[in-house]
Amino acid sequence: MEVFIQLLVSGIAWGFTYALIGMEFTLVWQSSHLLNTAHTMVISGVAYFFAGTLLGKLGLPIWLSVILALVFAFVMGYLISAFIFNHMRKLDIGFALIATSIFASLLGELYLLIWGKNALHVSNFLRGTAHIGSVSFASVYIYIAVFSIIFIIAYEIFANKTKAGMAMRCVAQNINAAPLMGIDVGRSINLTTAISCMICGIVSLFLIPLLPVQSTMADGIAFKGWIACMVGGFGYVPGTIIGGIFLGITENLILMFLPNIYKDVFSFGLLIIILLIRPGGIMRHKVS
Amino acid sequence: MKRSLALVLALALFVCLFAGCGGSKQETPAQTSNEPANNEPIKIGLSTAMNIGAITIPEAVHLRIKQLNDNGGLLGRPVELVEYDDGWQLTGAINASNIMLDEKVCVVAGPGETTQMKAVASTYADAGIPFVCPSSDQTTTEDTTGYMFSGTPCDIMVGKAAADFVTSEYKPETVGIMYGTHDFGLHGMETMKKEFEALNVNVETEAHNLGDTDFTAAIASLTSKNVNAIVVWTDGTEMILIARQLHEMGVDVPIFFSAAMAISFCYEACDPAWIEGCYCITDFIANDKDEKTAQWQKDYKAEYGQDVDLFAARGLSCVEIILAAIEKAGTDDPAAIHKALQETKDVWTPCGIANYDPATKLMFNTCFLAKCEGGVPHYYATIEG
Amino acid sequence: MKNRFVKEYLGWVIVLAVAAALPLILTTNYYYQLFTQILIYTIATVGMTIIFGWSGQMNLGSIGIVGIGCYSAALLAQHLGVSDWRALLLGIAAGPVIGICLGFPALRVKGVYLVITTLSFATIVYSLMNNAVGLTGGPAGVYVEPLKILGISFSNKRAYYYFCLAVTALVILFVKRLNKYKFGRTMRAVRDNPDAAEALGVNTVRMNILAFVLSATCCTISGVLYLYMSRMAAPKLFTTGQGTQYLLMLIIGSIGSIPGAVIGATVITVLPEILQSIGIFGTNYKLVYYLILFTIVMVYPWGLFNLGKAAVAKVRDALHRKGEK
Repeated sequence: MEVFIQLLVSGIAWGFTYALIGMEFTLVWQSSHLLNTAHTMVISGVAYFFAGTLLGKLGLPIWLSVILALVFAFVMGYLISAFIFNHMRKLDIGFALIATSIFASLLGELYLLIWGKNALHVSNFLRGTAHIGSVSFASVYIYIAVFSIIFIIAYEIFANKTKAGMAMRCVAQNINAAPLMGIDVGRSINLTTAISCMICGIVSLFLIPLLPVQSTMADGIAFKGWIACMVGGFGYVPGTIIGGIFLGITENLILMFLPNIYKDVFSFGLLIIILLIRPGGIMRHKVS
Repeated sequence: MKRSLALVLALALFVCLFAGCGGSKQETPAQTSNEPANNEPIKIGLSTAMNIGAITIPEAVHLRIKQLNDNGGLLGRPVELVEYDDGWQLTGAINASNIMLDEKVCVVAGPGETTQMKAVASTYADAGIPFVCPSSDQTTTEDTTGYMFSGTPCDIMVGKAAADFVTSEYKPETVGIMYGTHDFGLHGMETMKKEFEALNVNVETEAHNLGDTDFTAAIASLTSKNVNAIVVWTDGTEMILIARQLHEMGVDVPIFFSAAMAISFCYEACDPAWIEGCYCITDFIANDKDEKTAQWQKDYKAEYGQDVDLFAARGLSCVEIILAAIEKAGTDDPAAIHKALQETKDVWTPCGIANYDPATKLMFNTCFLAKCEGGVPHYYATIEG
Repeated sequence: MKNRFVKEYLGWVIVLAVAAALPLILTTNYYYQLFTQILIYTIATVGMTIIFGWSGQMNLGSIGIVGIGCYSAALLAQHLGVSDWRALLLGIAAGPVIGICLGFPALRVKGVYLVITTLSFATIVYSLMNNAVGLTGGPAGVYVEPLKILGISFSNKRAYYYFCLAVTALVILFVKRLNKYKFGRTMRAVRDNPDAAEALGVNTVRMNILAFVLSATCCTISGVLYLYMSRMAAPKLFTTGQGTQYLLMLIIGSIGSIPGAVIGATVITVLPEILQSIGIFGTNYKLVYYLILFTIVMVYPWGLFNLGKAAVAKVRDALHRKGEK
């Protein structure tokens, strides 16, 4: 029973992580019909900047470093959008995909040049153990869950009640009609990408107490985040959240019955089966 | 249609001609300006990943060769490194081997990964060029070409030493082994399992993939089987996660880590509480047991601003063995070097004293034991495998 | 009739002649094996051209198919104790089988969902290769003896290059002939407007599956040829990260054209080697490599072949206008 709760808690926490990444991925898709495959490098870049430059080299206090790291993430997103997305917007999605992919490889090499070969870390950042009864786990799991819930609520308010949010949804529905409504599509895309990269930045900070800071730290997680948003129904944010939690919990609970090493085989096999049975994802969302 | 195809052809020809101008990348590190005019440099090949995270082999090798050349070189001749970035990939190693042979090196340091080593063994063997690998995998003991040498303590020996130590110190009834499914983890687990069972200790194993982020199920499974000790045999990233979860889940049996825990990025990322009192069985741990190791650590820090680590130690070990063999052979004739490598005796390396045993094909019969205190693994003992 | 035939294939014949002559000019094993790698990647990229470019199905799992071809041949060779035409054929035969297995589910899953499905397929294949130690030898891979066909041993690297050149030429010839006539046009019609194609009596299901079968066969051929170049099959070779390389070759070359596939494979294979051998970038040559690729994709995303065509068209126009004056 204890093991079950332990696996569930961990599954939910990682599920929320996948959901966050899925959400920021979906946001970019919704606003521009493009995909930012460089988001793994945004995550590791923010982590490097935070651990290596802000805390490491400059020795700034933590609260200031967190703020500056998120600003850094925002700027990164804005630049990716302004230079790559607005350029590639009119073309088929494959081009933006490969352009951001090459850009990601480029960033990887750049990080090695700037911060060196060895992985970085930050001691005493969001560390700690939390307890539910006799079950213990990392405190950061709670922070991730709490933040995710707050973010989802904030997103719903933003998307439905604010002008910028409705503009974004308008662009998502019909990118050609949006300018006719007086919406500056380019600016909307830039803003949304910047916000989505800020989410990447927050995920990055949550990952710091769990993983060492290196270019590849987010690769597997981001892939699962992408799966989360597919399983839920691509382009549909509530679906992404459901997909993420579903993936996180399933891949952990499967381990109660199956050997650890085939976790990937079964998770991805399950995904394929789901997509075959319900081609629009769990929420049956059609992609335009 | 015809014209555009001609353009394609021209481009292809152009590109290939450019490749023809290329070849290998040669590096002659920090030469003294008064190099003797008719002294041919001794060419040593280096096939490794030049620019991948955590692989600091090039740094260690460059520093050593630079120091060597500043002090007059080897056998009175400068040493020239013929480098190729194989990216730790199979195809890269194949290209590297071809370039090494084209450049007529007399011996090669690298490649470092199991499948790379197996792929290039016959190429080097057919050309009569021995190669010394910074890999701890048992591939060197399975080699049939006779030209593959190990530059670091082999996992077969380290795993056996680990099993012996755990059994003698703690006399456990059952041992749990958590291992990664890459070649290091898998082979390490198999070696230890064999040794434990030979010593009448029960073994329970739990595998995990590299890239896994949660080990709750594996740890719970082992604790439910009432293991008296746990050995963790995997890479640094996973080790940090496992150390944290072992602590969170209140596991209080003795824990033993493999070499990754001795690397600074790994143990520094762990809370001291997670690894207090845990042992680490490794081919290298920073120590000042002898003058040469202490001096190397100082020089490396002065040159690169970073502490030495496992890969740097492995890279330097290969080079030390190679240099000793060339010196012993007295020439850069590959056949003579090959023979000298087989007679390697009492060569200092940061990983211990190298003595080649032709029967087992092992270059080392000792490895290090470290104990974590205050969040840092400290040298504890040298153990035999 | 003869004139048209000559016109169409003259360019390719010249390329073939150059490819055959190169090993006689650049005569070290390094070049032989590098050019062999180009050929191997070309075949795989041709496979991707079929599925991506002509059929419009975004299959990013091709690397898994290459791996299956490679491992099938390797395991049979290990089992038989000899590497010969039987291992070769089994490896290649896995292609149509996988093609059909993937083609049917792909009918149901479209667009971006197909991307994630095929990527998952490739991940599952990798996981099985690495973890099913009893079957596949696990992370240490499978080692094979040099290829032996009809008594000729292809341990000589130059001989093996010519063998691969012959195979590549045949594959390109076959695919080109298919593309030129009804088959190719039908496939592109299905890609562009499946409903209209159905209305015109085309069996879209059959076309889509055939695309998968052809593409998968090209991939397994590539996998088998790689096996005998390196004499090793290893899981590390077939990660999804490696799969991105094929996508790069496709895009840099030009999606949907065979010359594009050749150019893409050549540039992606040769450019890092050139940059490394120049030496001035030191260990940062990869940074320069990605900078160059990024610039190409941003400035002219349609690939180098299309760039060449556009440039030639412009020159032709300029000359034409000059002639009119």
